[in-house]
Amino acid sequence: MRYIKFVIALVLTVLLLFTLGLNHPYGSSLPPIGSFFNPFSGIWQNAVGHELASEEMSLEGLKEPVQVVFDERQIPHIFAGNTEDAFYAQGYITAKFRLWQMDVSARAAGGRLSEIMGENMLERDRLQRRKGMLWAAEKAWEAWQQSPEEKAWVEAYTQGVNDYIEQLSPAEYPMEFKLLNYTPEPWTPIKSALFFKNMAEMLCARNEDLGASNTMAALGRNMFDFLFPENNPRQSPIIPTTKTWDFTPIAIAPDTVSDREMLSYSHRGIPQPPPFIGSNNWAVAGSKTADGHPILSNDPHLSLTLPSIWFEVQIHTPEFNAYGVALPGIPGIAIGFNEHIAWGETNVGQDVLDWYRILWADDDRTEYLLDGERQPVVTRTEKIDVLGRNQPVLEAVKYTVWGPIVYESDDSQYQDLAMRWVAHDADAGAPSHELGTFVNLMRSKNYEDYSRALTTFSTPPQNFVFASREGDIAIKVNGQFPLKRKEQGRFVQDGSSSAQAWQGFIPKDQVPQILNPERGFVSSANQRSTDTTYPYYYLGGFDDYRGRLINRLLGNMEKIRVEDMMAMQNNNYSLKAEEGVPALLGQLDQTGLGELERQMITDLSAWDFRFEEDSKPAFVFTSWLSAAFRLTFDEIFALAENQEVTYPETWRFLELIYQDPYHDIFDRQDTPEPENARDVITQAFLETAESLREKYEDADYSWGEFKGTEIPHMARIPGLGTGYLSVGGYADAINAIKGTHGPSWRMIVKLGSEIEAWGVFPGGQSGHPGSPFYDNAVEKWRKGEYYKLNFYHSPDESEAAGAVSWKMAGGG
Amino acid sequence: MVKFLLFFAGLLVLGFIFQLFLPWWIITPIAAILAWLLRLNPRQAFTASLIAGLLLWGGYAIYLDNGILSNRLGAMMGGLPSALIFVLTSLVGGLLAAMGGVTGSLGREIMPASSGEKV
Repeated sequence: MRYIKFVIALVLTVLLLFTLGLNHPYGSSLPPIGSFFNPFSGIWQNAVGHELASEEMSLEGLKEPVQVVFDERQIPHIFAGNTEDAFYAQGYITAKFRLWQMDVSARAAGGRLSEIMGENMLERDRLQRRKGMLWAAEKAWEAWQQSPEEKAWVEAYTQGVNDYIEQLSPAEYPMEFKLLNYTPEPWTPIKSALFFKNMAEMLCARNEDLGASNTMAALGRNMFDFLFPENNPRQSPIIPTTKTWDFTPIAIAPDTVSDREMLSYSHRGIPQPPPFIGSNNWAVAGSKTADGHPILSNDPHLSLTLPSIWFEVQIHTPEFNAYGVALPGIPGIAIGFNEHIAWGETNVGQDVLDWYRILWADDDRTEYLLDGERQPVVTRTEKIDVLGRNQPVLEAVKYTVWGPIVYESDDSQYQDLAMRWVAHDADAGAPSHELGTFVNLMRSKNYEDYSRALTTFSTPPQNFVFASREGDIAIKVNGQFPLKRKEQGRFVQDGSSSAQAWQGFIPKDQVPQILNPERGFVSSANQRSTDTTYPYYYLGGFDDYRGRLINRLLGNMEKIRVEDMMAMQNNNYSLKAEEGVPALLGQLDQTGLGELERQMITDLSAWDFRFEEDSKPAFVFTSWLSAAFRLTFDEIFALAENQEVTYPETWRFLELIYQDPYHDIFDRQDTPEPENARDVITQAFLETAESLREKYEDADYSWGEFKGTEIPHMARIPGLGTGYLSVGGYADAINAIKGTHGPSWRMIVKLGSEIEAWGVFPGGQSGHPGSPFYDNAVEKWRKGEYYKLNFYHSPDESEAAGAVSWKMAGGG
Repeated sequence: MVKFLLFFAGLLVLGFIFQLFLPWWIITPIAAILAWLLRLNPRQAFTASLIAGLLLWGGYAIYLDNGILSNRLGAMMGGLPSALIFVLTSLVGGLLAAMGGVTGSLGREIMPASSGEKV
């Protein structure tokens, strides 16, 4: 009996230990429960926040001593004796605050998520490899090594990250490592390059080639041209229309092949970043400001996540003293200011990714035809480790003269497509590269320095705004832009003809740019770069409303103060509503409307076109507009059921309502009677009113809830995001807050005798969910408030502010 | 009763020290060895280890928490109140210790009576 009891107890104990030690026990997504809950090294060790204390540390990788001062928001102010040491310290500190974010971002970009998350990430990883992300990052790192400075910076940063990782005990691993049950691995320069490619993928990979090809094939050329004009006549481009182009453009050979018949693709498109991934920046000259000094504003819009995409930092060396936001994984400051200038960025919407159809020469698909000659593909075998599999998955990616064949299918109805993308080219920026651009901006003292710094920047192309204490303001649509003939890259191209290739790149001194325009301000909001007088052809996805509104507002403003710029960044007024509401109301047949419908119309007519969180007309307008859009373009929506398509732009839709309300396009395919704009818009209104009935009658329900903004955790781990945030804003308002997308950093810099700056981002300095600094700035951001940024000139000054100080001494 | 308290205090102290640098399961063999050496009866061993384990894990978790982490963990686990997360943590520690203690005590009981009895 005693034996039996003992054996039972022993078995139960072993079973308990076994169960608590399992990763993903019994099919769940849980980490090993024993080590996870163990307060001595598990998750409870991640209750951080009170851990920052003044310290002295000895670090082998430093040449000279470095002092880092953390202010009350835990912003590091790095004081270093040389630039390499500064980037070493930046790497060390960024890792301390954001190690998991850095790790997972590099994995996501390079296709290594299945290694830690298992099978369900495999398709995503395969696609990243097929898109050549890792290949491109390797090429970028090769190129960086040609530039001694850039090589040294990345290596110092990498060393800093790795020295931090090395002294970590497992108990100190960031929470997500414990949740996902894996350990940090060393940082590498390739990972910094991957972070760049990650930004390129987010910002300059969007294209409509497949959708446009299919839509044109289905609608026919005439209808396509009618629905998709390339230029919005109301556009207010980034470079003012007064600009004249004082250079001789490179001549471009005309199109020799014009085989439009081949343009029919059944492929499902690969997932794309959202369109018009927005951002605003502007700089006003002293002539327009209250105290005569320029003011620069920038709010880049990105996916909103926790940890935040941005890490705030000040870096002081004998060469420069710069402050701003950095990307966790990349040395230097991406958006910011120094003692002389300020700079900021918005994304350029130009299409720099084209697809080429491959004509195979053999059934095995190892050779393809180019100008009638057989060319072998170069196969690069990607090894993907998958959690739970013993053998890595091998993905053979075929490379052509165009780039990797991303779409390859055994099904003969599909055509195999190769990807030509500027972000695959690494050597464009010689003698230095993207990395050098940011550091050279940090060093810049005036317009000439800024302009020179930008010439080495390739991708993702950005509208770099500039202002200096000398009083200059400027903007440059900057990056590596292919030389394209008209409509090149609008549709899938014939990859069997080398004449279809890009004919080079626009010289860096011929990109659209302007210094000190007469109107006293420069601005950009992802709209078209120029008017149609610019000698080079370009296409892309361009915003049609924010830029026009910004130019209208700034044009009318005088004696501008910093507070005016803050109000403008938080402006919820929409030009799309200003033009869209009358267009819809003007075509509404109001006979026989019920009480609720009449109420909606009354409210909509009285609406001020502001997407405030408590607005009700805001969600009626957006719902009605999209319902009318759907009914009008029902031909295209029907097509979308089995293929990739592209949709007309809203500005064109509104224009058609005014200009051509009896056009065939308004006729619905599913009814025998012919419809016009009035029928479709009325029908859309009735449907919308019905579907919104309950919401409209609920006194507490408003635009804020309809929009449903929240900031989720990067890996969508529940409980680690903000949950619902009650906040106004709209994709087409300057304050472009959407569901999980919006202003990721709001910055305003006044370039007076003293530089003064304000900023806020929706998150916090710390990437640790157990820290009070993980999301401490969200509320301020939500309310449209700013922090005054502590821009110190010496360590003494910052220490005097009563901050925590680290003294890092070199080990050698 | 003295044995019970001695065991309880010993487990708390040794458990704390060893857990600082050894993995989560170390509390189980410590409880087993202590129960074996002190010859606790199974019921006593179970009770004393359970309480010691609960206190060690739960207490240390409460000590470490900053009011933010426990809330996030609760939200992560489907909106549990943070108090329940402490309870869960304590239970894991308590169970690990209790199973060790009872196994050690039962193991001692099956040893031939002569071997240890006269020491």
